[in-house]
Amino acid sequence: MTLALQLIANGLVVGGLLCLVALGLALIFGVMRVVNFAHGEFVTLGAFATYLLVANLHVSPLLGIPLAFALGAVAGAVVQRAIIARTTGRPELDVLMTTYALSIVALGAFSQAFGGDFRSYAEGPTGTLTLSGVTIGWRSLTVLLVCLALGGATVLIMRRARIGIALRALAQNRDAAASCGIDVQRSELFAFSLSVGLAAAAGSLVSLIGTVTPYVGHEWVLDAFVVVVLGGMGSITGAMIAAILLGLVHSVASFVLDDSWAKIVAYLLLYAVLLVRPQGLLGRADG
Amino acid sequence: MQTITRRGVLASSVTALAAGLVGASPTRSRAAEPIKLGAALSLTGRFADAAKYCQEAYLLWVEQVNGKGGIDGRPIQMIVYDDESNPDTGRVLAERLIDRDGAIAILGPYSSPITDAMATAAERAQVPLIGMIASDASIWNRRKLRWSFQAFPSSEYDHEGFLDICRQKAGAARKLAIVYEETPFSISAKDWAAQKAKEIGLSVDAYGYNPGAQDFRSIVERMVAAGSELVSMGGYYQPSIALTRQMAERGFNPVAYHFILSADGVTKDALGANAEGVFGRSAWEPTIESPANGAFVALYKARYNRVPSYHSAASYAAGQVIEAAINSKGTDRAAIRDFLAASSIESVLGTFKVNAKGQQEGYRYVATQWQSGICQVVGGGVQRPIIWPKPKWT
Amino acid sequence: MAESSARRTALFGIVATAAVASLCAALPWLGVSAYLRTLLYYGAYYLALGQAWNLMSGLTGYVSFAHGALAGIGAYAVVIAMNAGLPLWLSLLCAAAATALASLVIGLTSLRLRGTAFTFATLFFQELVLLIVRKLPFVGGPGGIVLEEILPAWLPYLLMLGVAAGATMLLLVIRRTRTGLRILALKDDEAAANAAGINATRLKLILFCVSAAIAGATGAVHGLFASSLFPNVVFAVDLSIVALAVPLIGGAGTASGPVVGALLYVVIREVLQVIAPGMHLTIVGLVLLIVILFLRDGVVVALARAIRHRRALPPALAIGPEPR
Repeated sequence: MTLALQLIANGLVVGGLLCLVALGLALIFGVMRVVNFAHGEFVTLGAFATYLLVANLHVSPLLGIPLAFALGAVAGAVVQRAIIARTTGRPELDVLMTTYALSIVALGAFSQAFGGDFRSYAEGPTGTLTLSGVTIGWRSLTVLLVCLALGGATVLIMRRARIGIALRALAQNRDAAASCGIDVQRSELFAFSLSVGLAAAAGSLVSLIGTVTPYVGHEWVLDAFVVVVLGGMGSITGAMIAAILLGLVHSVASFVLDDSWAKIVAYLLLYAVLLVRPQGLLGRADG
Repeated sequence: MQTITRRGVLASSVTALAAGLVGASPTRSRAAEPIKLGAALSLTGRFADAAKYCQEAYLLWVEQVNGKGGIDGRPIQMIVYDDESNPDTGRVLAERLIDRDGAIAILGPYSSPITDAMATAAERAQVPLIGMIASDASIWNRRKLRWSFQAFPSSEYDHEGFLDICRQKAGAARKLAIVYEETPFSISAKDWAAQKAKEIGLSVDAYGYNPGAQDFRSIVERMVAAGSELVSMGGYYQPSIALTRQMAERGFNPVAYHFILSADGVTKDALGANAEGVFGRSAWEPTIESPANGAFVALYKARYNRVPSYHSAASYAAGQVIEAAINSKGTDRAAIRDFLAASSIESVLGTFKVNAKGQQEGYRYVATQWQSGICQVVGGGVQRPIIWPKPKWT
Repeated sequence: MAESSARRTALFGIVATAAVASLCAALPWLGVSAYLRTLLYYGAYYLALGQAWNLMSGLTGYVSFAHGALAGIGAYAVVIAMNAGLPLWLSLLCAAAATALASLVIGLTSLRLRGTAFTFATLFFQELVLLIVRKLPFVGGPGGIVLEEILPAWLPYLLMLGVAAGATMLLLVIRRTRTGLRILALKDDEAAANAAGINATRLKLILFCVSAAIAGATGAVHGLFASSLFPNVVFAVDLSIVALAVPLIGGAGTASGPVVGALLYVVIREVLQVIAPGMHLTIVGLVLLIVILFLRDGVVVALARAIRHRRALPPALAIGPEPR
């Protein structure tokens, strides 16, 4: 029984971080129908920002989280205005390749600026917590709690705040929303900034439990896409559920079988869901 | 330019004839013609971590050689391109170096697939290739490669030093867990280690993971369930740090813990006090005592204000190896190839010697251990006390 | 009148393609360096892959990220067949067939999905194939497989020129046939096409299989060139990106688009490698960004538009005699 609980705890940690990375992706797809291939690079941005903060000022990496979020939001706003806004109305492939090109440029820039060296720090929460026979490190627990907090805050914004309601209206029907007086451009700017801010915050957490390189965010992107598609493209709650589910599946499958089989199982699960429900778990059943 | 006199022409034709017979190049125009060597480095892309150090070492070596007048009066010219950590790019790069730039040999790329791709080009074009940081011996097992040579200790021996220490110190601890990445180099290291472990009476559980994995919690769980006492991780750096942290977070304290790249990189920064007692293996450490080594470290420090890493040492060693070949055999590619296949060559990495397949037999790894924040060499005949068992995680 | 003119354009295109391909084929024997031959080889490789993608995604608008994986399947198949002793031509055929079969898997499961979901399904197919191939013992696992002998480079060179030329000709022809018209109708409005009696699903499936067969043949020839396959390399997503970037830059849906795209891609990267090592990936990304943002529909279409503007001809009358 303790083993099962331990596996669940492990799965929640992985799922939580995956959730935070995928949240932003689901958000912009839902609102703007933009697939952001450069999402991973914003994760990397957050990771480097936090690393630099800790390495130079020797403060707690937890301070890096809001810093990374703010940095990401600003970067997102700039990118949206300068580049994404130009692609409104273009076919999906064009938008997709625009973000992909962005990701190459960003990767190149990070590699130039920081080289390929690994970077890491030991500052931050240490030690473990044991509860009912389940051991979880404080670092991982922090990551899980922050992910839940940010995820919860995002859902709250989408449900209650005016801008959140505007975004949901936009997601449902763009023209109707515009004719209701919603400022489409400002809403999209907000959505993109929020999305990228979340990605950067996720990057901050990634730096806490992993090593920082120019490619660190890039490696999360594919898994994040799986989450978004499984959850239902554009559904934030769907993405959250899918992330937790995948985290749990991975934890159990890699214990029972092995790591590679766990990934195969995850993909087969995805295909199975898509066969039965092409719109994903909580996606809308339209085009 | 000088005016051409009849006597001048006669004199230079005689020396040219003599040069043709003897193989040297004493005439003024021939002496200036550089010997071109090609190098592929992963300046960008996934494996771009140490290319900078390699480049520095190449530059240092070229400066050293040319400062002494070059080889046979001809300066060395090193042409470096970026393989982008991409085998297709590596193939075009090889052709560019061989065909367009006229390199007589190539100092090989960083990762296995790219080494393999460039080795194919080298076989077709019949150009010697020195795999200067190619630890993966399986490239030479897959196919017959006559023109490529491994110039780095083979990854088969990744776990050798640690197992040697276990043999001496393990006592009652008999359960070994090997964590390996599902890539050829790590798998062959695991196979070698599993065999050796059985010979010294240890039971072995092997846990493979998908390249790029960041989550090892299930593997840790399985080690806990199996009661593993000795753990050896044979994968890349990032996964190793992740595994270490996740073991610590789980409160799983093995009697001894080894990850092959612990001597690298930012282990001290990443793990802090948890690095204490962790074993590793190293192809080269600046503290290794040998006259060649001492000179190299001093030169490097003077030039770059930094202690060299093993990437630099490997690059410098590759330069020394090709220098020996050209010194002995000139710039004929086939002759260089034969020389490299048959000779023992001294370099900062040790004694270069390949077997019939082209795999490195001369260079070996030494075991290291983190002690009080310093990575110390503890194997290879060095008399240094070993921390055993590993202190508990903090 | 317009139809025979279109047929003439197609014929001209076919002859031109054959001529260029023949010229390139002869070049090594005319003294061109191995380096240049390798560059031409890669140009043909990316062109062939690009046309394969173009045939499916350029024409139907269903963006596929699977073409790299499909090429990889072709590569593995040809090596397995050759090592088993099959003659070259049969091995290549087997590779194309195996890939077409594999594409049925995606086709039957994913073509029901709309737009972006289909794209992601193909992206994940790539990953899944990689994971499975690494687990299958009889195809070498993570170590991959090797061709027992290293073939001389001119053989895959000629073969790749053939595949690239053939695929380009297919693109030239198909747009002007009845099938071509049906496909274009599909892209414009799938629901209307269905209503007009065009079996959209069957058409998409057939196209996908043919496209996959070409990708498989391309991958197979490259397998002969590389002669040593690592799954992590062969099934990396990068090749799928190239397969769609090349037509996108040049002009998706056109036969000449991928030609221009492949040329630009190889030339730009080569030039940058020599003059700006270390920065070149960033610059390639910037070039891609600029092309997508400012040269709508690709270089070829943008050029055609610019030329038409110069001639001050309204587009509808572009085919036919100039008005006085």
